Amino acid sequence: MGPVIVLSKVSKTFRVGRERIRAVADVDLSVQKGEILAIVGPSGSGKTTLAHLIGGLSRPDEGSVSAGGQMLRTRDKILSKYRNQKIGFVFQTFGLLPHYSALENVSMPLVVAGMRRRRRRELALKTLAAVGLEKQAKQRAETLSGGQRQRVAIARALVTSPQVIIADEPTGSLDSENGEQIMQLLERLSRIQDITVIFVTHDLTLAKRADRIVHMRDGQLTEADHAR
Amino acid sequence: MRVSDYIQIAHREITRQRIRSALTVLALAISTVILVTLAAISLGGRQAITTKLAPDDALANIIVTSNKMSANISFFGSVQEANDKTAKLDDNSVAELLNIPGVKNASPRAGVWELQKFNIEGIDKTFVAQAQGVSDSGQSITLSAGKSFSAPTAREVILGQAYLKDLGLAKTENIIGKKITFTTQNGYRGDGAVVPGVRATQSQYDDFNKTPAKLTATVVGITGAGSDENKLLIPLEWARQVRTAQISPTEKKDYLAEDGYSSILVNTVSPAAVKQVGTAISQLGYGQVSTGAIIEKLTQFSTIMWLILGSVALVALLAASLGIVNTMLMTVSEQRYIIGIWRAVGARRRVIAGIFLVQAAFMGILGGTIGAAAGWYASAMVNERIAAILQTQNLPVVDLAAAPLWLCVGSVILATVFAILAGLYPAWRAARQDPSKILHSI
Repeated sequence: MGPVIVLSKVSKTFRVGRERIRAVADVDLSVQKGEILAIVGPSGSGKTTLAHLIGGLSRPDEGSVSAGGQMLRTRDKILSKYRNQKIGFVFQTFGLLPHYSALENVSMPLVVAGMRRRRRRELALKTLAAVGLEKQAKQRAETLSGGQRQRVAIARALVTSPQVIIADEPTGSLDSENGEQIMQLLERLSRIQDITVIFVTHDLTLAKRADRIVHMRDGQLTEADHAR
Repeated sequence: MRVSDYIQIAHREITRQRIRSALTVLALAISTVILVTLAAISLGGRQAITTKLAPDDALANIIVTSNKMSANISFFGSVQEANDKTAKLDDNSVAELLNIPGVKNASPRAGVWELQKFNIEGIDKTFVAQAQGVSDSGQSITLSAGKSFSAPTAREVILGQAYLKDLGLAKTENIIGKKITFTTQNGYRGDGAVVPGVRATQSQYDDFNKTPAKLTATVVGITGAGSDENKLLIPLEWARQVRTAQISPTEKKDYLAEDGYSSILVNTVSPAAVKQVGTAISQLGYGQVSTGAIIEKLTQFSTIMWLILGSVALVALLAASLGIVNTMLMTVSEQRYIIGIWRAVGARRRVIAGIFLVQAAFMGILGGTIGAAAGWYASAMVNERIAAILQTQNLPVVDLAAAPLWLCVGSVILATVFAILAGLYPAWRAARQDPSKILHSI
């Protein structure tokens, strides 16, 4: 099986005041289909920026990102479609709209895709059921527990059947029990649905559950381990 | 994304920030009320001018004078140019005017200066007689009550309706049939005068010259509203008799023939013919003024008023729009998180801009609709109050404010357009947000 994501000499620089900070520098990386990849590193090492480059939320200043063998162009239309159809994001603080119900949060990518209301409701309910939250479908996100919110976020990431799920510190806001449940859910999805999961963490214990670990320091990939 | 989804998202965001949205909508509604009310008053004023000055077929009439008038008519008259026609208007003039294509009738009018004052039977009030001799052969008099003269020399009077208002008489039957007594100028020698004979002494002549005569007539009709409403009309041939003086025991002098008519009312076949007939009258060297020309001037004036009032309303709308810009910019900075999430799930920049523009349009439609409805109600209230005041003054009721459907709908559209324009910059700012930077911080 070929790589689903390939990064070639990717660099990204931010301007903070007068200072230019190279958050990602000359990164080469390829991720296989169905692989679970952990990006680890200390705070400010460029992990999240790298995840955003992979997910098409940010454009590289240099180098290229390829998905499914095709180089990603930087046009907003192309990148937005890529995020909508190929990528699912999960954030540390869940990234849910608190005043929306679980069902409405899960439906967001389908709303963007222009899907009819009835069809997207069916799909969203099915996906919520897959993460064990069909009974909470009508509950507002702000009334759910942390673990439930993260499962809603995962359902939203899954609802368009993406190739890749990018999870940025997915257990960072959860207690150990809920964190464990979320990791088991991501692993199960990867195995059953053959989805590539890239997760960002600074927790080495958690990272060891991945198929492969890449370390980042000062914007560069320093080493790659095969955890399993 | 579907239009219905844009609307639903906009609705949710507006209702989520109830107080802020309500205040913005209120500002828009207030400015729309100002717009609708001022426009309604301006429009109503124009309509009142037209209906007041142009009763029935008055728009088809032209008043012809001997002096050629300047084309620049103002509300206070116009400059008059001396020419060979200034001598007088006579029956030849009438014949000349009747020959113009499009002229239906030409009715001469003559000022009767000899009749100076008059009293109405049973009423203790003396009025100045602005008497005019009128030929009513072509129904040139618009009557609101009673009938026209029974004969060209009948001692009958058609009273202007303004006198009734002045006397506070609501019912015309209280005045029709009453006797009117005219007081003439001193030394009056016309119809009904008792002139001293050849054997009269100098003292008798002196007394005659210092004493007015009394003439009586009967009120047969009341004029309608318009240019005759403050006049007192008598039959033309009787006017000629009044103006024909016994200057010696054997000699009479027809002053009406000598002075000519004061004006000739030309009735055209239709209001559309007025311009063409007016040009022909001017080419003959006469002066002419039509009700249509006066209305046109007044309409020009009211258009200027409309522009001034409209500008005031637009400034109010602009101020309200700045409120929308402010509200939307605050919303954009508060909703950075939500923008980031929508972008992460694949929303394009134009989708983000669309969400904010629909929010602005939503507020515009809401504020505009509330404002237009309130403006319509305010116009109705203005009319009700004005009507109450006019009725207490015994004046005819006119609608001073007119808020037609097109004005209300137009105001809603205008408020919405202003709101969308005001939402453009915040929407652009929202669309330009970098999702990566936003999501780095959550």
